[in-house]
Amino acid sequence: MLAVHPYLPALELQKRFTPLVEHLSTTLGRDVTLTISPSYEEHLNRITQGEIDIAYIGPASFVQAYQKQPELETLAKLEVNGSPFFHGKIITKSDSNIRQLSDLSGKSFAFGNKNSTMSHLVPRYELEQQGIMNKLSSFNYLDGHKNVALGVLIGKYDAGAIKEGVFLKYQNKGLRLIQNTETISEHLFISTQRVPAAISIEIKDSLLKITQHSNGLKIIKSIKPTVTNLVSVKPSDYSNLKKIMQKLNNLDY
Amino acid sequence: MFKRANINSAYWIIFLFLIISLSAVTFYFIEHQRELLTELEKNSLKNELEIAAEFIREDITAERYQHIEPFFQLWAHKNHKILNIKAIANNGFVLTEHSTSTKISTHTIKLDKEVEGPIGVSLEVEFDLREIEKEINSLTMLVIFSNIGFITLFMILLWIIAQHYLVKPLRDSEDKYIGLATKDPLTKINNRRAFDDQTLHEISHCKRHSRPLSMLIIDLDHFKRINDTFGHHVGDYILQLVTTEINMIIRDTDVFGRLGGEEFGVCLPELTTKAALLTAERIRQRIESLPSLESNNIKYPITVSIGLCELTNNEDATTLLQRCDSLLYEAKGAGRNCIKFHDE
Repeated sequence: MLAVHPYLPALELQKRFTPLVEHLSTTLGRDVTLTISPSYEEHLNRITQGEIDIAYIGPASFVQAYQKQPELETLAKLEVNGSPFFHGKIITKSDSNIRQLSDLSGKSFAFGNKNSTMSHLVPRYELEQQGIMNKLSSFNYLDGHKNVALGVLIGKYDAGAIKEGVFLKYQNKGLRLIQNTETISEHLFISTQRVPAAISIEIKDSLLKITQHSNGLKIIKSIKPTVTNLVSVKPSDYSNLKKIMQKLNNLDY
Repeated sequence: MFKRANINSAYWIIFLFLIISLSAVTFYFIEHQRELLTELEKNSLKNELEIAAEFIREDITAERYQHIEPFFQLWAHKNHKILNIKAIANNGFVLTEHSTSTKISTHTIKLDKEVEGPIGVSLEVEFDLREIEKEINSLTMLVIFSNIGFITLFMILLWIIAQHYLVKPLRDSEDKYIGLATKDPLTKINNRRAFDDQTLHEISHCKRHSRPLSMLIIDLDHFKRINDTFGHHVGDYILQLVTTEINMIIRDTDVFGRLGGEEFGVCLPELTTKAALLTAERIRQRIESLPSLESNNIKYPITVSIGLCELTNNEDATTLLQRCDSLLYEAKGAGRNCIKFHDE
């Protein structure tokens, strides 16, 4: 059973992941089914409780899950446009006089969702590290990357943090990059403790060799059009994110 | 006194006046309707704009900026009158710009709305008003057709009234005057002038087409004696009787007239002497067969003498009548109640 967190409408996820599920069923010779978790929390619960076999999971969720359940097996991570890492963007309006992070003091700042890796956790950490967080005149959590971009464009906030895709979409509407954030390993597939080690290896093998399959590229691009490969992954790939999250937890944001 | 030409002119002047005045009224009415409809439409669109502004204000207040663009798209999708939407934040950022591919320069209306809130937004929406034009067009057609119908009916009615009360009496009186000028009052046949005119016309026609034409001059025998014996009223009656009898024999196309006193002329187009002789003889016999008058045991038979001649090539009406006249005198000389003609 492969579970996916509900980052898109269920029907859309069904469409995107069905080719992969069918591919796994064929290569493993086992019946693999797709399930969409009702919420991010439930997704985490199902993983840590071992109620499902395979899961597609975001970096921040993985760090949380791995802390609770170290028996999780990492299978493969996405390679997007040739890179298995991604970063966030700290942005402002094109006509703003903010050039570097230190210019942000006395300014207002927009984050996305509190649990979002690139619109909150990573950039928040960097602002904290540079001691800018407490110099901001105000900051707020807007629900979603797009909202942050529009909040800055519309002039409600002086700066904000968003993922690369949203930045590219709104860049020509008047956004300017201040600084890229630290890079974090991409989204990944894991198997839970419920899956026997031998089968786990089989699944990993199937995922990592997917591009050798004639339809492989089509299958992974169906998940996200910018995905170019599935590459090997280990838990330590996420240690920088883990450090960030621990640090932020201590700060009790 | 009305003249028929005047009546016709008056008729057409009324017609023009109706067309011009109804056109002016129609134009004024249509323009008024257009203003009214535009104003109504403007108010309803203003209401819609108010509602849209309220949605945007709520989204901005709740910092749901990403909802604004889909809202505009949905709005434009639901209201097909929306041609262009432009929403600009007060820092100059264009929140959304929706525009249809077809640009319509006329029949559009642009409405502005300032959205108050944490972030000021000005809305400019251009609406399509072609539907009003469609409504106006069909209304115009309706009014024009009903105007045409009204004018047609009115003019027909006016025509009937004018014909009945103005033109017909006029024509009747005209006919009366023409009759007075051309008819002999006693016998109601052509008088001398009309007979001459028509004879001239027939002669030139027959000459042009090289057709024969014969002329009879008929004179009542001893008419003076009858008048003297029985009085003028009997004489007049005999003239009317003879006219009726001759009229029964000749064709409709023949020209019949009273030349004066007891003398009648009959112009017979298309007839040679031979054929005309048959007609003349029938006239003579018919008159002869009328019952004689009687006074003091003396009989006064009613008979006619006739001079007949056919038109020759280089002859005109005057000489033809003169020739006929001399033949008539020959007939009188030959004992009356007979026909004299040139036998060729």
